[in-house]
Amino acid sequence: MSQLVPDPQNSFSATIARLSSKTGVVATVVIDSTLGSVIQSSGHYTTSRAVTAAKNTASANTARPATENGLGQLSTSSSDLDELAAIVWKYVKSTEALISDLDSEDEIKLLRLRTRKNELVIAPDQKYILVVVHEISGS
Amino acid sequence: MQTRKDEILAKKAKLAELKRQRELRTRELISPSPARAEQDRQKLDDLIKNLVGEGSRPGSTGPGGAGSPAGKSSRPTSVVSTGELSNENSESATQGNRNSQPVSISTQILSTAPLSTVYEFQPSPVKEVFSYSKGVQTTEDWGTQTLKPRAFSDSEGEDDEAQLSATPSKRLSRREREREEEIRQNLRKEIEEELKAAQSSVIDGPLLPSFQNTATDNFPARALTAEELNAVTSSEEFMDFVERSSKVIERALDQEYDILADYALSGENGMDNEDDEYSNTRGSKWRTRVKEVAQFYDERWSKKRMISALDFSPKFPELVLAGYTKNPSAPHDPDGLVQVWNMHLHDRPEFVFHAPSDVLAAKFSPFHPNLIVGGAYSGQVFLWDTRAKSAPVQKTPLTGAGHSHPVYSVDIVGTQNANNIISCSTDGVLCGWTVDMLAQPQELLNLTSPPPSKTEDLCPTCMAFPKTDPTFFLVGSEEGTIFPCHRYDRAGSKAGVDQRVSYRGHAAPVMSMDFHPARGAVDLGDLVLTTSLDWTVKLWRVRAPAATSTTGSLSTESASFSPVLDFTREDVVYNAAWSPIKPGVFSVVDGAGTVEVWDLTVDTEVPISKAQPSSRKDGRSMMSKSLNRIAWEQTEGKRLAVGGLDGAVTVFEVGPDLGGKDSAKNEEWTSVKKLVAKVESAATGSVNSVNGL
Repeated sequence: MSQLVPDPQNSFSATIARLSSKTGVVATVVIDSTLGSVIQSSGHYTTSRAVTAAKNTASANTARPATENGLGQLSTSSSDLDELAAIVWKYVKSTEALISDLDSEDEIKLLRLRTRKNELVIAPDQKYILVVVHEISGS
Repeated sequence: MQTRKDEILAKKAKLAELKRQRELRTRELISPSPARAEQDRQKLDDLIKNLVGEGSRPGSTGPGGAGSPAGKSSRPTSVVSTGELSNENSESATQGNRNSQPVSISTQILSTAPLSTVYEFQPSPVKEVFSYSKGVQTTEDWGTQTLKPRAFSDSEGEDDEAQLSATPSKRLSRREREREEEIRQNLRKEIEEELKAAQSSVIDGPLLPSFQNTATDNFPARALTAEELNAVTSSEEFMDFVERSSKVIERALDQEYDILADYALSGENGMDNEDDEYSNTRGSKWRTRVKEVAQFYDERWSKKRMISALDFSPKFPELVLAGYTKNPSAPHDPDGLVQVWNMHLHDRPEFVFHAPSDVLAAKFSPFHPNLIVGGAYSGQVFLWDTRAKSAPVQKTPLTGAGHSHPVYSVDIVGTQNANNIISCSTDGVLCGWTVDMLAQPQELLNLTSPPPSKTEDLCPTCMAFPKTDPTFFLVGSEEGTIFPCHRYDRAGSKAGVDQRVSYRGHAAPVMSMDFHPARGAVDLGDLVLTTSLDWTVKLWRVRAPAATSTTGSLSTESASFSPVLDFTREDVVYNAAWSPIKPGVFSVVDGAGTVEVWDLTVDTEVPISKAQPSSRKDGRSMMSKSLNRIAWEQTEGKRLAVGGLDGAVTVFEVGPDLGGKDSAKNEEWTSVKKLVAKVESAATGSVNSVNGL
């Protein structure tokens, strides 16, 4: 049976790879929702908060293509994605608070945040949060 | 445990010390009066009584404050009590000791065992702290936790010694005790919270020494170490999360319609193309077009497999299942495979199911949206559940009862409350199974060729049930003849192949049969469409089983019927299926890789429209173009899934004249009926005229 089920690491990174290879996808981040730590990240996304921070560290803006490495956080863009993760994490937490204020027995299933440039698709779970940033094509 | 033992030892020592002191004191009381024994004894008794009175009064109130009344005074001898009580709270131990001397034997019967259990659970939270990794506790918490009981017993001990005179201090200590209790409660609560937080944040592996409760408040807490990452990413829970959430996100990304589309904006994209297409092909052609809308192929699983089965979910019209044969170049992958594709999820299957042998037939259960039945090359019948993992939830045994030859057709017949899985293998064995139990067939029927044939052997290649009758069915054989069969004994016939009737016309193995769905004004349920390797599609009208029995009684000769209509194609025809909505529409796939849609009400000579699945990037060679299976989406009749040798499932959408809800008019039904009647009468007329000549 073990051979039927692929190695969890592989299937995880394959899933992330497939996600990030979809057209328009800019970045994917998996966050631990209790600790807020980044479990996995790929792609490149520069937050304006990171830009201001990057003025100090000039090396931060070396772009690199998405990696399929399931464990390693990218050395170059990880700080950007960490920023993104921090912002998203804060956003999810405040939304959770909003939902629990509205109905304490309710919970978030999906957050789709459309901006003029991007769409953030956030799937919060009990323990983890999956975030995908993709560009809006066309309009 | 060690610390606990130490504690007990220390207590024992202390108790022994106390006892010795007390003995000394009593000796002092007795020693000054050796001469007048009688009176002195009286005095002494009084004194002792006094002492006892003094001793027991605060004793009974004192422990009462700590939650254990009266019982304390009935403690047996000190030796026993210390032995027993040292397991418990120190406070009760000293209490017991204090009253030990004057207690008589009779009171020993009053055991305080049930009361002692009250105390037994109290140290348990403290114990938890012991067993818990010390690194987690901050030193401060740790200190107070362990010091508390110690301080307690100390004050208690002092209390005891000064007991006769000092009741205020006793009260004080009680208050103190209450406060301690309160603090302890708080601490316990705190620890529990901490534990919970720690457990929920760290799944496996070592706990973090620097973990703090406040970590959740300020982000980014810290980066996980490689070990922790490993532990997290390989945990099943995490895999479930990835599986679930990525599906949701992919569906979200695959959603084509942009809900923020602004139609007031000068339109230059998207909508125009569609408009062009419409305007260019306006007229009759557009209304009968067959347009490809999706193609499903998974690099990991679909590769080098052939599609052997297709079926749309009756409950969720966006789901289509595909059964696959084995991938000869991947011996470690499971041979059989069923993938459920979602129209809204393009890049990956919604579900993947495995089987130990090539899947040759698969079908959604029409009575339970979660269940999928399949037949395999090994002769096994599988049952998969979309709520379970990829392995079949049930399967028939490989040996013993059941099939020993490949099962090319399965069906689920009956009603919502009473349905059976029917499977048919190429050695002529037909089995009926209950959905709950696949260990043994509920019924087993051996199909044999009726007398005129040279051998008894019958090799059914396909099987079809009419939509209304679960006891009657047709089997198509390898020789090309179609036999009607009964599942049970009837008035005029035995179970098995009906000896008197056969449908002859195909000259090569029959590849598929499909009864007309008949959901309209006129009953067309007796029309059957068959395909064969002899490059033809044939339309038959099947005689009702009751009618055949009466004709059988009239003529003992076996009657052979010929097809109503014959459609000759340019290649072997693998599969044909009636539209679930339009009475005259059916679709056909052939060995050349063409999908054809016919409409009997419009034309019986040529198909209304044709299409070919687009070739995938990595190329379909000429050899792999052939299409094996076709299936209609059941509720609307607008979509059509085809699949073949190259393992890709292609979904087409048909124009409004060929499908779609309430597009079927009543006259279409009657016109099909009329057509069949006309063609049939013409055929019998010609036969009669030939006979007449």
